[in-house]
Amino acid sequence: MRALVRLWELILERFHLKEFLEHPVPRYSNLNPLYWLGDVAAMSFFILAITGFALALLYTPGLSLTKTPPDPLLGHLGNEVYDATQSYSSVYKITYLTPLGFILRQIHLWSAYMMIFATLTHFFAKFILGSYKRRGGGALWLLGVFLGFLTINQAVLGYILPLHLDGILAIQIGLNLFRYFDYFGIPVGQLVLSVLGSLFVTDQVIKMIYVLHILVVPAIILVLLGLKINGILYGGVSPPPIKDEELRRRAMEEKEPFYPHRFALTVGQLLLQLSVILLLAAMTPLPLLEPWVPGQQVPAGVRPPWPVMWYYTYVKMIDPFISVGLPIFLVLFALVVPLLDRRGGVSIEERWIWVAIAIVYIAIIGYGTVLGFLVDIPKEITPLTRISVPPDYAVPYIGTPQAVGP
Amino acid sequence: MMLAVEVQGLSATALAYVAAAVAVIGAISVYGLLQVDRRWASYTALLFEAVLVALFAYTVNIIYALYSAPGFGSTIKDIELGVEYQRVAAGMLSAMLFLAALVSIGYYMELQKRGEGHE
Repeated sequence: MRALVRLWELILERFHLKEFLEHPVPRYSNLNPLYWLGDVAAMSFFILAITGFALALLYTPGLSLTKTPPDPLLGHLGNEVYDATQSYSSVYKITYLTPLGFILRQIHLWSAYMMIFATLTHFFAKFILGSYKRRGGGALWLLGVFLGFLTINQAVLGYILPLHLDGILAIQIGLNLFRYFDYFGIPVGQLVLSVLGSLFVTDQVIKMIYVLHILVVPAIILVLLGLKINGILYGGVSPPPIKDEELRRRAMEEKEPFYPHRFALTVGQLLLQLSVILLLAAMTPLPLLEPWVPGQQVPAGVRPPWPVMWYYTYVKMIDPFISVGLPIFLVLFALVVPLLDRRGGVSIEERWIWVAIAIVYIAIIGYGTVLGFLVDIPKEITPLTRISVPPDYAVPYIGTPQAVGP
Repeated sequence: MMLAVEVQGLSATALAYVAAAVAVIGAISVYGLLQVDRRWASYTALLFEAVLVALFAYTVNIIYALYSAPGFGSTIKDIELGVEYQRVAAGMLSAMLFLAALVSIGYYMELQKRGEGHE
C-alpha cells in the first residue's frame, strides 16, 4: 500500500500534476448545485464519446433494403418481417442481436438526453447567475451558446442515423430550418441542399450525416469545451449571487483545493450520473421505433423526442414564419445577452428583469414541450412544404424532391 | 427450422429481485455507516459491490450463452428474453455505481466536516 502511495506521489510530482490538482476552487461552487450542471453536460459528452466509439464500430450507414423483424419494445409479438434500410437493420442488430448491445445503445441515448437537459439547465443557471458579467465571462458565455447549439445539432444528427420514421421527420424539419433563410434572400437552404446533393435521404446524405455526427461536430465540441474548461480554470467560476459586497468577497475567498475536495465530488457526480443513466436504461428503455423505407412519407402521429418537442409544437400551432424562426431568434438573442445586460451587480434582486427574461425563456420551451405531449395538435404534418413558398428573389430553389448534381 | 432457446439458470425477474434487494440493503447500510465512520462505510460498500459484481458476472454469462445459442433471434420471444436479461444487468451496474458514488460523495462530506481548506 505504501509503495502505491509513493508511486502516486511520484506520478503527481513528475508530471507536474500537483499544481493542477491543488488549484484552489471556491467552496460555494462545490456546495451550490447551480455550479454542477456544466460538469454533468461535459461528463455526458465523454460518456457519449466512449459509447459512440463502440457503436460506430458496429453501425453501417446505408439505404439498401433488408428484411428486419419488428421492434420488440413497441409491443409486436408476431414473427413478421419488415422492409428496412441497412442503417436501421444495423442498429437493430446492435440493439437486439448483440450481447450487451442493448445496454450500450441505451447508455448512448440516455446520456444524450442527459447532456441536452444539463446543457439547457446550465444555460438557465448561468443566465440567472449573470455569470457573463465577470471578466472573461462574456467569452465563456459565447462558447457556451455555441456548445449548446452544437449539442442540439449533434442530437438531431444522431437521431437521424437509425433511419426510423422519427429520424426522417428530424431531417425534414432540419432542412426546413435552413430553408427559412431563403425567406430573406439568403440561399442557405439552397447551399445546404447543394452540399448534401439531395433534398431527400440518399446513401451520400446518410454517410455525410454519419461523418458529421461521429467526427466533425464532436471535434468542434471538444475544442470549444477545452477552451471553456481552460477559461474556467484560469478565470475562475461565476461569483455568488450575493448583493452584499463584503459577504460576496468573503465567499469568493473561502477556497478548497481541487484535489481531493472537488475531485471526490466530481467522481461521485460522474458515478451518480452513470448510475442514473443505467437505471433509466433498465426501467424505461427507449425503443428503436418504426423503420422508414426510402420514398415513404412520414405519417401523421410521428412525433419528435422531448428535446425538440417544443419547437415541433410551435411549428404546428402558429404561423410558420414566426415558429420556424423562433429557435434562430432564441440563439441570436442568447448571443447578445452579455452586451445588453451590463449594468448592476450579479445578485437576483439587482437584475430581476434579466431573471424574468430567463424565466420567459424557460417558459417558452417548457410550455411547448408540455403541450406537445398533452395535446395532439391536429395540423397535418407536411415538413417539406410547411413554409410557404419563398419570394422570387430566393432562387434557385428546389420545391419538389429531386436529386441534385450527378 | 425454429429452435427454442431456453435459459438454464435464474430467470431475469428473479435476478432483478435479488439484485434490487442487495442494492437497497447495501445503499441503506452504506448511507447509515457514512454518518458514523466512513472507513466502515467503504468496507461495507466493497462487500456489497462484490456481491453485485458476482450477480452481474452471472447475468452477463447468461446473456452471452443466450446470444450465442443456435437459432437465437429466430423468434421475437428470444429477443425479448435477451432484452430482459440486459435490463437486469444494467440495473445491477447502476446499483454498483450508486454505492461507489455514495462513498465518493461521503468522502467529500467528511472533508467538509474536517474543514480542510486553503486557509
